[in-house]
Amino acid sequence: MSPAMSTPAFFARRTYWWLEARRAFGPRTAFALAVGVALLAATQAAIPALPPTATGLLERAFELRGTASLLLLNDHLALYVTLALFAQVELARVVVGPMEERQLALLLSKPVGVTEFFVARAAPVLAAQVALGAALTLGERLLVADALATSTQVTAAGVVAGGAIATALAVAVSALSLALQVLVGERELGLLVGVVFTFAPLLGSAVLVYRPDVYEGRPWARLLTTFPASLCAHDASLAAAAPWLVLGAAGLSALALALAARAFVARDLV
Amino acid sequence: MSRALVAAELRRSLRSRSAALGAILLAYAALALPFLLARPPAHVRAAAASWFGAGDAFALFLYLWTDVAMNKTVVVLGVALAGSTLVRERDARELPLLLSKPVTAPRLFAVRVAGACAALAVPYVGAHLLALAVAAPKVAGFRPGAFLASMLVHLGAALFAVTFSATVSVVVGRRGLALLASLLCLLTLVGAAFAGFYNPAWARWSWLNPFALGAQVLAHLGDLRAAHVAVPAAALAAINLATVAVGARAARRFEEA
Repeated sequence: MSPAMSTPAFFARRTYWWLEARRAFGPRTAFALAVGVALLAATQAAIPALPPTATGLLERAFELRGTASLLLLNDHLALYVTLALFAQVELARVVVGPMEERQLALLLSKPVGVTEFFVARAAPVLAAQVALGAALTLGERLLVADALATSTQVTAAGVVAGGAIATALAVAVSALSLALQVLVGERELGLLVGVVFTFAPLLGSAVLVYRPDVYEGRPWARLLTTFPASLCAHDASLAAAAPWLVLGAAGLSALALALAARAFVARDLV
Repeated sequence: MSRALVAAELRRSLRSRSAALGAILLAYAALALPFLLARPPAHVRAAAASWFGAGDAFALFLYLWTDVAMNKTVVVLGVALAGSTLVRERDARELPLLLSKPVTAPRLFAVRVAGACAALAVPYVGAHLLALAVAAPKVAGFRPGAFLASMLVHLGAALFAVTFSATVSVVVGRRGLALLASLLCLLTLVGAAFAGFYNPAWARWSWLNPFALGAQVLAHLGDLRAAHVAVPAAALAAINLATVAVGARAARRFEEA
């Protein structure tokens, strides 16, 4: 609480932040969680039923060994896509939605600054993403428990670390696309741009499958650009690397959020 | 239905920024795919041979074109173009003004869907023509006839992304939830589009998936006949019309909004 702020003003603002936070954990969050769990369950049913031609292609292309690795590859992908798409839709509600519905002036008539208004609406979406990521990582851990027992490549610690990294990446990508959404100023177009951002980190995996020669002699490029396959292929070192990667992604997300808030203030939309 | 209204809607959709960005994405897919196919490894060629009965470069090209380039792009573009149909106008308080014209909400819905379909179909066909010019000389054994036949069938799946997301918009009635539901449902269907090829035991069920129907030309590359194009194309047209009919019925309640 700043010395200049009176006690009633402090409590009023705390209530405002609380109201915005509650909006981020609404029916859409529950829907995203249900879809995420359904996708994880579908993966557990589909992957073991695939014939060797299909599983062999994935194992060879991504240097994976066994069913547990294949399950995790698809689980991490399902987690990332669910989280990222949830945030793209939710973040459109931060300012672009109210702007289109001509409610922005009304919302900004509250006794909160423009930057604070922006952060109070955007940060809970990213927090909801983290909560969804934690829940789906737990789901992954429970669903692959049997397959892990016989795996020679992936471990329980690697599952949790991989889920945390996939979540952190989804949060960072969403935060980065927020500034673009503000600049675009149109909900559906912002969504289109955001989804392009979401799929960009997955392009390296397609290159690895069809053009593995591009990665020959470039182990670092392969490690960093072939998400989510690299999470399974480097399970042994994942637990040690995860805290640093999550910390880096958190810093990047905070920076991206600050940039988006700056872009919002600079647009002077009211 | 007024021709002027339809013409105005087509112009509006084709000039939208989403349609322009979609055209850029589809053109990028047409230009980038030859790079991805330049040196496919032996195990990828072998897998394509087992799934499509043909291990040649063209079968692999058509698979990648349909799965990697077109499916994901048309889903995102379809949702961006039609995922807020009527709900956006209602939230912006423009709907009473639009409905003051001699048009009912179901008809307005149908016109909006037609405009969004045109905004998707024009760059979609353009990307195929671009691919014909760019990829055909680089892909050994390229078959323009089979490629265009596949385009005809898959266009129905691409338009399903529009009709489905527009219908979800008016059925759900809430913009954010409708966009999220459309995206997640359509991407799940796209993810399962080739399940019947990967595991033949699932082929029968995969006919329920419009994106699997859209890929049916790949199943008959060795012996492609008119029926292999006409049947899935007709099935997709029927699915799209039924989806629009459901949406138009749900749009009735917007007349009270």
